[in-house]
Amino acid sequence: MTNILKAKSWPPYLVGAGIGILSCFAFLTADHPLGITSAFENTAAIAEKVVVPSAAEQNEYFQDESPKIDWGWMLVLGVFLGALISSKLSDDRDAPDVLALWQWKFGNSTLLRYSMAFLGGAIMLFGARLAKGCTSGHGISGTLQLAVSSWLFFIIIFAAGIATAFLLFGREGRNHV
Amino acid sequence: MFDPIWKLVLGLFIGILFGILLQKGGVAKYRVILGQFLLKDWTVVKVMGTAVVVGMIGIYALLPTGMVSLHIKPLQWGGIIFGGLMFGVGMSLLGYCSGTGVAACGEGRRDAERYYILNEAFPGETFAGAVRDQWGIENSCHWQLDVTFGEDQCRIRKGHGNENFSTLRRTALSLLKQEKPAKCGVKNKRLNAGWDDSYMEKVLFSQ
Repeated sequence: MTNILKAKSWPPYLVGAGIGILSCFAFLTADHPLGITSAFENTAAIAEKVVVPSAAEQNEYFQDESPKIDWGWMLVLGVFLGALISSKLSDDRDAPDVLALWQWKFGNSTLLRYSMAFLGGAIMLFGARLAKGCTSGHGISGTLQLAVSSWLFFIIIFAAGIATAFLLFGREGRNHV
Repeated sequence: MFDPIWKLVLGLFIGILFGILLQKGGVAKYRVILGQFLLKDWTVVKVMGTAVVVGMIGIYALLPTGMVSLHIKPLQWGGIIFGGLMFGVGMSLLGYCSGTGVAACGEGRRDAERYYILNEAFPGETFAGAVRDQWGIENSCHWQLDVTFGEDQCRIRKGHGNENFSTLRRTALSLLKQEKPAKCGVKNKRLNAGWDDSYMEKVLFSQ
């Protein structure tokens, strides 16, 4: 078992099959699709409730939703721990080539990379909550239920992602990945 | 404020498995995600595609038994289209999506790493090993080509002759090395092959 866990990577088709089976398991046991971003929404909502309760009372959001530390929240924590365990066991941490592509195009300013990462993350999460799902919630859990909304979302994020990547790095970037 | 404890534990358990799968699949890496968007590395599509096919078969097989129910998200055109566009742009800028981003945090990526080899905190053994490995190539390939095939004395220069002969020598060297039963060096095996046609056959077709 540890030998398998010590491998740096597993074949993508095997990993995909594993995620598919895990999705079914989640449906069976918790009656929940695998999803990540609602936990972020819940955390933000809980934070508002705790830090500025007066603002939270006037916020219409709480009339329909009751955010809590739930199954999905623990799922996110689990993903963090799982990746931590897996990368520790296979010694696959702090790989030095992470920024090869970025550095080739934008130099090695960490400030620029961090601010762009923050901006990207903010846009991404806002988009995910607009669409009510992310690459897990829509992209995997939704598409496997053959939901029209999820397939549409999936196609759009791929188109937008590809367009942005080519705008940022161009065709030349392909040689630097 | 909290779900029942068994549900929390279950969530954590499934999450850990999910995290391990994402990390081992390599999809928690910036270069894999950008590689996909630049249409060079198809790992993301392979992982997601297989997950969708396997999950779909599982869910629709379980559906008639009533053990699972579908959770389909509403088709709100505005939310899906604008949300999708923002998600795609943001994901491409960041280099992770939400799930893999969490996994990437677990993997310890601060996204501020430089890529000089000596930046890594090497133990002495690893470094010395890397240096000796280079000598391994030198001794097992170049030295043998020189001593047994006299490569360094070779005067072939014209046209592609040098390249062609180099390829031939390497092929011959690996064929001779493959021929295990004979208890003698590469040089003697070579001589043997010159003298004895049946031995040459053995070397060429590795019988």
